[in-house]
Amino acid sequence: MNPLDDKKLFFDMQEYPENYSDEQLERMMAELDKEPDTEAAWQKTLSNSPLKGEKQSLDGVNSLPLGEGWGGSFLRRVAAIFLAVAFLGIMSLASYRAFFYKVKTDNGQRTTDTTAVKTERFYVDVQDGDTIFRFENIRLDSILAVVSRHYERQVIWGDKAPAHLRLFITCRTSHTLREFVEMMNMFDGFRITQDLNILYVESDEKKEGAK
Amino acid sequence: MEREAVRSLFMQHYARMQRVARTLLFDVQESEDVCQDIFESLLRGGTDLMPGTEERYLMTSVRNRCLKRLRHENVLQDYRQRTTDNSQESEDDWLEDIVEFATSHLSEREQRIFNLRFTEGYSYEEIAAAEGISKVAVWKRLSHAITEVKKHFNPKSL
Repeated sequence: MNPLDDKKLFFDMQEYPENYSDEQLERMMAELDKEPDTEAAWQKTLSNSPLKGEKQSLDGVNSLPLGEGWGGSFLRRVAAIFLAVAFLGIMSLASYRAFFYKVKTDNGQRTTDTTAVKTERFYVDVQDGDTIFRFENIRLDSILAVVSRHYERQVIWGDKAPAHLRLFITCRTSHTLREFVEMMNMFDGFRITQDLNILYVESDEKKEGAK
Repeated sequence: MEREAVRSLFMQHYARMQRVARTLLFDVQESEDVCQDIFESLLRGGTDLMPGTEERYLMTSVRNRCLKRLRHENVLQDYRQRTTDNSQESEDDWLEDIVEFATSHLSEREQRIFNLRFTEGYSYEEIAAAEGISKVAVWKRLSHAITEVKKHFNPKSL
Protein backbone atom coordinates (compact mmCIF):
# COMPACT_ATOMS: atom_id res chain seq x y z
CA MET A 1 0.00 0.00 0.00
CA ASN A 2 1.17 3.52 -0.77
CA PRO A 3 2.02 5.14 2.59
CA LEU A 4 0.40 8.37 1.41
CA ASP A 5 -2.95 6.57 1.33
CA ASP A 6 -2.92 6.25 5.09
CA LYS A 7 -3.02 9.44 7.13
CA LYS A 8 -3.25 7.55 10.40
CA LEU A 9 -0.02 5.77 9.62
CA PHE A 10 1.65 9.11 8.88
CA PHE A 11 0.49 10.67 12.14
CA ASP A 12 1.43 7.59 14.09
CA MET A 13 4.89 7.55 12.55
CA GLN A 14 5.21 11.21 13.39
CA GLU A 15 4.16 10.71 17.01
CA TYR A 16 5.83 7.38 17.73
CA PRO A 17 8.80 7.00 15.39
CA GLU A 18 10.33 4.56 17.85
CA ASN A 19 7.65 2.03 16.87
CA TYR A 20 8.86 1.88 13.30
CA SER A 21 11.99 0.63 11.65
CA ASP A 22 14.36 2.96 9.85
CA GLU A 23 13.29 1.36 6.57
CA GLN A 24 9.62 2.16 7.22
CA LEU A 25 10.44 5.76 8.11
CA GLU A 26 12.61 6.12 5.03
CA ARG A 27 9.87 4.71 2.82
CA MET A 28 7.44 7.30 4.19
CA MET A 29 9.97 10.10 3.66
CA ALA A 30 10.62 8.90 0.12
CA GLU A 31 6.89 9.09 -0.62
CA LEU A 32 6.58 12.57 0.86
CA ASP A 33 9.58 13.79 -1.11
CA LYS A 34 8.81 12.06 -4.39
CA GLU A 35 9.74 14.44 -7.20
CA PRO A 36 6.65 15.53 -9.09
CA ASP A 37 6.51 15.51 -12.90
CA THR A 38 6.89 19.27 -13.18
CA GLU A 39 6.34 19.46 -16.93
CA ALA A 40 3.09 17.47 -16.74
CA ALA A 41 1.95 19.58 -13.78
CA TRP A 42 2.67 22.76 -15.76
CA GLN A 43 0.64 21.52 -18.71
CA LYS A 44 -2.20 20.68 -16.34
CA THR A 45 -2.01 24.15 -14.79
CA LEU A 46 -2.18 25.71 -18.25
CA SER A 47 -5.14 23.60 -19.25
CA ASN A 48 -6.96 24.53 -16.02
CA SER A 49 -6.03 28.16 -16.35
CA PRO A 50 -9.11 30.39 -16.29
CA LEU A 51 -7.59 32.50 -19.07
CA LYS A 52 -9.47 30.40 -21.56
CA GLY A 53 -12.79 30.80 -19.83
CA GLU A 54 -12.37 34.52 -19.30
CA LYS A 55 -11.47 35.06 -22.91
CA GLN A 56 -14.51 33.14 -24.04
CA SER A 57 -16.81 35.19 -21.83
CA LEU A 58 -15.44 38.42 -23.17
CA ASP A 59 -15.70 37.12 -26.70
CA GLY A 60 -19.28 36.23 -25.95
CA VAL A 61 -20.05 39.78 -24.84
CA ASN A 62 -18.28 41.28 -27.80
CA SER A 63 -20.08 39.10 -30.26
CA LEU A 64 -23.48 39.92 -28.87
CA PRO A 65 -24.60 41.46 -32.10
CA LEU A 66 -25.83 38.44 -33.70
CA GLY A 67 -23.81 36.66 -36.21
CA GLU A 68 -25.36 33.70 -37.83
CA GLY A 69 -24.50 31.48 -34.90
CA TRP A 70 -26.71 33.55 -32.62
CA GLY A 71 -29.85 33.31 -34.67
CA GLY A 72 -30.87 29.87 -33.52
CA SER A 73 -30.66 30.06 -29.73
CA PHE A 74 -32.90 32.09 -27.51
CA LEU A 75 -31.19 30.83 -24.40
CA ARG A 76 -27.81 31.97 -25.64
CA ARG A 77 -29.22 35.42 -26.31
CA VAL A 78 -30.57 35.57 -22.78
CA ALA A 79 -27.23 34.40 -21.43
CA ALA A 80 -25.39 37.01 -23.47
CA ILE A 81 -27.70 39.78 -22.29
CA PHE A 82 -27.24 38.61 -18.73
CA LEU A 83 -23.46 38.68 -19.17
CA ALA A 84 -23.62 42.14 -20.66
CA VAL A 85 -25.78 43.42 -17.80
CA ALA A 86 -23.44 41.84 -15.26
CA PHE A 87 -20.46 43.39 -17.03
CA LEU A 88 -22.08 46.83 -17.03
CA GLY A 89 -23.02 46.37 -13.39
CA ILE A 90 -19.44 45.64 -12.45
CA MET A 91 -18.19 48.61 -14.43
CA SER A 92 -20.77 50.84 -12.73
CA LEU A 93 -19.71 49.56 -9.34
CA ALA A 94 -16.09 50.26 -10.22
CA SER A 95 -16.94 53.78 -11.34
CA TYR A 96 -19.02 54.37 -8.26
CA ARG A 97 -16.29 53.22 -5.94
CA ALA A 98 -13.62 55.18 -7.79
CA PHE A 99 -15.81 58.26 -7.51
CA PHE A 100 -16.61 57.53 -3.89
CA TYR A 101 -12.98 57.33 -2.97
CA LYS A 102 -12.22 60.39 -5.07
CA VAL A 103 -14.60 62.74 -3.34
CA LYS A 104 -14.37 61.61 0.24
CA THR A 105 -11.72 62.99 2.55
CA ASP A 106 -11.04 62.12 6.12
CA ASN A 107 -8.48 64.20 7.85
CA GLY A 108 -5.14 65.90 7.33
CA GLN A 109 -3.16 62.77 7.83
CA ARG A 110 -4.81 61.06 4.93
CA THR A 111 -5.05 63.97 2.53
CA THR A 112 -2.13 62.70 0.56
CA ASP A 113 -3.70 59.26 0.27
CA THR A 114 -6.94 60.66 -1.04
CA THR A 115 -5.19 62.90 -3.53
CA ALA A 116 -3.36 59.90 -4.83
CA VAL A 117 -6.60 57.97 -5.20
CA LYS A 118 -7.96 60.74 -7.39
CA THR A 119 -5.46 59.93 -10.08
CA GLU A 120 -5.30 56.19 -9.57
CA ARG A 121 -7.66 53.79 -11.17
CA PHE A 122 -8.43 50.42 -9.75
CA TYR A 123 -10.91 47.76 -10.69
CA VAL A 124 -13.66 46.11 -8.78
CA ASP A 125 -14.61 42.64 -9.84
CA VAL A 126 -16.94 39.99 -8.54
CA GLN A 127 -16.00 36.34 -8.57
CA ASP A 128 -18.06 33.59 -6.94
CA GLY A 129 -19.84 36.18 -4.84
CA ASP A 130 -16.56 37.60 -3.62
CA THR A 131 -15.76 41.26 -4.33
CA ILE A 132 -12.26 41.77 -5.59
CA PHE A 133 -10.21 44.94 -5.76
CA ARG A 134 -7.73 44.70 -8.57
CA PHE A 135 -4.86 47.17 -8.35
CA GLU A 136 -2.62 47.36 -11.35
CA ASN A 137 0.43 49.54 -11.01
CA ILE A 138 -1.18 51.52 -8.19
CA ARG A 139 0.61 53.49 -5.48
CA LEU A 140 0.78 51.95 -2.04
CA ASP A 141 -0.94 54.92 -0.41
CA SER A 142 -3.85 54.61 -2.83
CA ILE A 143 -4.18 50.90 -2.19
CA LEU A 144 -4.16 51.39 1.55
CA ALA A 145 -6.69 54.20 1.33
CA VAL A 146 -9.10 51.82 -0.40
CA VAL A 147 -8.43 48.74 1.66
CA SER A 148 -8.39 50.56 5.00
CA ARG A 149 -11.89 51.84 4.29
CA HIS A 150 -13.06 48.33 3.63
CA TYR A 151 -11.64 47.07 6.92
CA GLU A 152 -12.49 50.30 8.72
CA ARG A 153 -8.97 50.99 9.84
CA GLN A 154 -6.89 54.15 9.91
CA VAL A 155 -3.56 54.27 8.09
CA ILE A 156 -0.66 55.87 9.93
CA TRP A 157 2.59 56.39 8.09
CA GLY A 158 5.77 56.00 10.10
CA ASP A 159 7.39 57.62 7.11
CA LYS A 160 6.03 58.40 3.69
CA ALA A 161 8.97 56.97 1.78
CA PRO A 162 7.16 53.80 0.65
CA ALA A 163 3.92 55.62 -0.21
CA HIS A 164 4.92 56.02 -3.85
CA LEU A 165 5.75 52.34 -4.42
CA ARG A 166 3.59 50.88 -7.15
CA LEU A 167 2.17 47.40 -6.84
CA PHE A 168 0.14 44.91 -8.81
CA ILE A 169 -2.12 43.06 -6.41
CA THR A 170 -5.54 41.58 -6.10
CA CYS A 171 -7.40 41.81 -2.80
CA ARG A 172 -10.44 39.72 -2.02
CA THR A 173 -12.84 41.24 0.44
CA SER A 174 -13.48 37.77 1.87
CA HIS A 175 -9.91 37.73 3.14
CA THR A 176 -9.25 38.81 6.69
CA LEU A 177 -7.27 41.94 7.41
CA ARG A 178 -4.56 39.73 8.79
CA GLU A 179 -4.31 37.89 5.47
CA PHE A 180 -4.14 41.18 3.63
CA VAL A 181 -1.35 42.47 5.87
CA GLU A 182 0.53 39.21 5.49
CA MET A 183 0.23 39.40 1.71
CA MET A 184 1.40 43.01 1.64
CA ASN A 185 4.39 42.24 3.84
CA MET A 186 5.62 39.80 1.25
CA PHE A 187 6.68 42.81 -0.79
CA ASP A 188 9.96 44.55 -0.14
CA GLY A 189 10.34 48.21 0.74
CA PHE A 190 7.79 48.56 3.50
CA ARG A 191 6.31 46.86 6.51
CA ILE A 192 2.72 47.05 7.71
CA THR A 193 1.73 46.25 11.27
CA GLN A 194 -1.76 46.09 12.66
CA ASP A 195 -2.57 47.52 16.04
CA LEU A 196 -6.23 47.72 17.09
CA ASN A 197 -7.83 50.05 14.55
CA ILE A 198 -4.60 51.24 13.02
CA LEU A 199 -2.49 50.07 10.13
CA TYR A 200 1.01 51.35 10.74
CA VAL A 201 3.24 51.61 7.69
CA GLU A 202 6.97 52.13 7.71
CA SER A 203 9.77 51.54 5.29
CA ASP A 204 11.95 48.45 5.60
CA GLU A 205 15.04 50.62 5.92
CA LYS A 206 13.66 52.54 8.87
CA LYS A 207 12.71 49.38 10.67
CA GLU A 208 16.09 47.76 10.11
CA GLY A 209 17.79 50.96 11.19
CA ALA A 210 15.83 50.99 14.42
CA LYS A 211 17.03 47.54 15.43
CA MET B 1 2.76 38.11 -15.42
CA GLU B 2 3.95 36.81 -18.76
CA ARG B 3 3.40 33.12 -19.31
CA GLU B 4 7.12 32.45 -19.78
CA ALA B 5 7.97 34.18 -16.52
CA VAL B 6 5.35 32.13 -14.68
CA ARG B 7 6.61 28.96 -16.32
CA SER B 8 10.13 29.76 -15.18
CA LEU B 9 8.94 30.20 -11.57
CA PHE B 10 6.91 27.02 -11.84
CA MET B 11 9.90 24.94 -12.97
CA GLN B 12 12.07 26.43 -10.27
CA HIS B 13 9.79 26.20 -7.24
CA TYR B 14 6.99 23.72 -7.88
CA ALA B 15 8.73 20.69 -6.34
CA ARG B 16 9.49 22.50 -3.09
CA MET B 17 6.01 23.94 -2.92
CA GLN B 18 4.67 20.43 -3.33
CA ARG B 19 6.73 19.23 -0.38
CA VAL B 20 5.38 21.93 1.92
CA ALA B 21 1.84 21.16 0.79
CA ARG B 22 2.25 17.41 1.20
CA THR B 23 3.76 17.84 4.63
CA LEU B 24 0.83 19.97 5.77
CA LEU B 25 -2.08 18.40 3.91
CA PHE B 26 -0.81 14.89 3.49
CA ASP B 27 -2.84 14.56 0.31
CA VAL B 28 -1.28 14.36 -3.15
CA GLN B 29 -4.27 15.67 -5.09
CA GLU B 30 -4.98 18.51 -2.71
CA SER B 31 -1.33 19.49 -2.68
CA GLU B 32 -1.30 19.67 -6.47
CA ASP B 33 -4.48 21.75 -6.45
CA VAL B 34 -3.06 24.24 -3.97
CA CYS B 35 0.18 24.75 -5.92
CA GLN B 36 -1.55 24.95 -9.27
CA ASP B 37 -4.08 27.48 -7.95
CA ILE B 38 -1.24 29.80 -7.07
CA PHE B 39 0.24 29.65 -10.55
CA GLU B 40 -3.18 29.98 -12.17
CA SER B 41 -3.62 33.17 -10.23
CA LEU B 42 -0.29 34.45 -11.58
CA LEU B 43 -1.33 33.47 -15.11
CA ARG B 44 -4.58 35.40 -14.72
CA GLY B 45 -2.44 38.46 -14.20
CA GLY B 46 -3.98 39.67 -10.95
CA THR B 47 -0.64 39.64 -9.21
CA ASP B 48 2.74 40.90 -10.22
CA LEU B 49 5.77 40.24 -8.12
CA MET B 50 8.64 42.53 -7.37
CA PRO B 51 11.98 41.07 -8.45
CA GLY B 52 13.60 39.13 -5.65
CA THR B 53 10.37 38.44 -3.79
CA GLU B 54 9.04 35.60 -5.95
CA GLU B 55 10.31 32.70 -3.89
CA ARG B 56 9.10 34.22 -0.63
CA TYR B 57 5.73 34.93 -2.15
CA LEU B 58 5.30 31.41 -3.51
CA MET B 59 6.41 29.58 -0.38
CA THR B 60 4.32 31.79 1.89
CA SER B 61 1.33 31.45 -0.41
CA VAL B 62 1.48 27.69 -0.44
CA ARG B 63 1.77 27.51 3.34
CA ASN B 64 -1.09 29.95 3.87
CA ARG B 65 -3.36 28.21 1.41
CA CYS B 66 -2.68 24.85 3.01
CA LEU B 67 -3.45 26.27 6.44
CA LYS B 68 -6.62 27.81 5.07
CA ARG B 69 -7.69 24.42 3.74
CA LEU B 70 -6.92 22.85 7.08
CA ARG B 71 -9.12 25.45 8.71
CA HIS B 72 -12.01 24.87 6.38
CA GLU B 73 -11.99 21.16 5.92
CA ASN B 74 -12.47 18.16 8.07
CA VAL B 75 -8.75 17.67 8.13
CA LEU B 76 -8.76 20.48 10.66
CA GLN B 77 -10.60 18.44 13.23
CA ASP B 78 -8.17 15.63 12.72
CA TYR B 79 -5.25 17.99 13.11
CA ARG B 80 -6.67 19.93 16.04
CA GLN B 81 -7.40 16.85 18.04
CA ARG B 82 -3.76 16.05 17.75
CA THR B 83 -2.39 19.42 18.62
CA THR B 84 -4.73 21.58 20.65
CA ASP B 85 -7.61 21.64 22.97
CA ASN B 86 -10.83 22.86 21.37
CA SER B 87 -10.71 26.13 23.22
CA GLN B 88 -12.40 29.36 22.23
CA GLU B 89 -9.17 30.64 20.84
CA SER B 90 -9.47 31.62 17.19
CA GLU B 91 -7.73 29.53 14.57
CA ASP B 92 -5.49 32.42 13.57
CA ASP B 93 -4.34 32.87 17.15
CA TRP B 94 -3.83 29.16 17.43
CA LEU B 95 -1.53 29.04 14.41
CA GLU B 96 0.33 32.13 15.52
CA ASP B 97 0.85 30.63 18.96
CA ILE B 98 2.26 27.45 17.49
CA VAL B 99 4.71 29.35 15.32
CA GLU B 100 5.74 31.53 18.26
CA PHE B 101 6.18 28.53 20.47
CA ALA B 102 8.22 26.71 17.84
CA THR B 103 10.60 29.61 17.49
CA SER B 104 11.01 30.25 21.21
CA HIS B 105 10.93 26.83 22.90
CA LEU B 106 12.67 24.46 20.54
CA SER B 107 16.39 23.92 20.40
CA GLU B 108 18.22 25.83 17.69
CA ARG B 109 18.66 22.73 15.61
CA GLU B 110 15.00 21.78 15.93
CA GLN B 111 13.99 25.29 14.95
CA ARG B 112 16.20 25.10 11.88
CA ILE B 113 14.83 21.71 10.88
CA PHE B 114 11.24 22.80 11.55
CA ASN B 115 11.74 25.90 9.45
CA LEU B 116 13.53 24.12 6.61
CA ARG B 117 10.76 21.57 6.32
CA PHE B 118 7.57 23.53 6.99
CA THR B 119 8.52 26.91 5.62
CA GLU B 120 11.21 26.37 3.03
CA GLY B 121 10.07 23.02 1.65
CA TYR B 122 13.44 21.29 1.77
CA SER B 123 13.50 17.52 1.32
CA TYR B 124 14.45 15.28 4.21
CA GLU B 125 17.61 14.43 2.32
CA GLU B 126 18.56 18.09 1.88
CA ILE B 127 17.92 18.82 5.54
CA ALA B 128 19.97 15.78 6.56
CA ALA B 129 22.84 16.99 4.38
CA ALA B 130 22.59 20.54 5.72
CA GLU B 131 22.57 19.37 9.34
CA GLY B 132 25.09 16.57 8.90
CA ILE B 133 22.72 13.93 10.32
CA SER B 134 20.77 11.00 8.85
CA LYS B 135 17.30 11.32 7.34
CA VAL B 136 15.87 9.19 10.12
CA ALA B 137 17.42 11.56 12.65
CA VAL B 138 15.74 14.46 10.86
CA TRP B 139 12.38 12.67 11.10
CA LYS B 140 12.91 12.04 14.81
CA ARG B 141 13.89 15.67 15.48
CA LEU B 142 10.77 16.85 13.72
CA SER B 143 8.76 14.30 15.64
CA HIS B 144 10.20 15.63 18.92
CA ALA B 145 9.44 19.21 17.90
CA ILE B 146 5.83 18.32 17.13
CA THR B 147 5.51 16.44 20.44
CA GLU B 148 6.78 19.53 22.28
CA VAL B 149 4.21 21.65 20.51
CA LYS B 150 1.46 19.23 21.52
CA LYS B 151 2.72 19.01 25.08
CA HIS B 152 2.50 22.77 25.35
CA PHE B 153 -0.88 23.23 23.72
CA ASN B 154 -2.70 20.15 24.88
CA PRO B 155 -1.00 18.34 27.75
CA LYS B 156 -4.12 16.22 28.35
CA SER B 157 -3.63 14.45 25.03
CA LEU B 158 -0.32 12.95 26.10
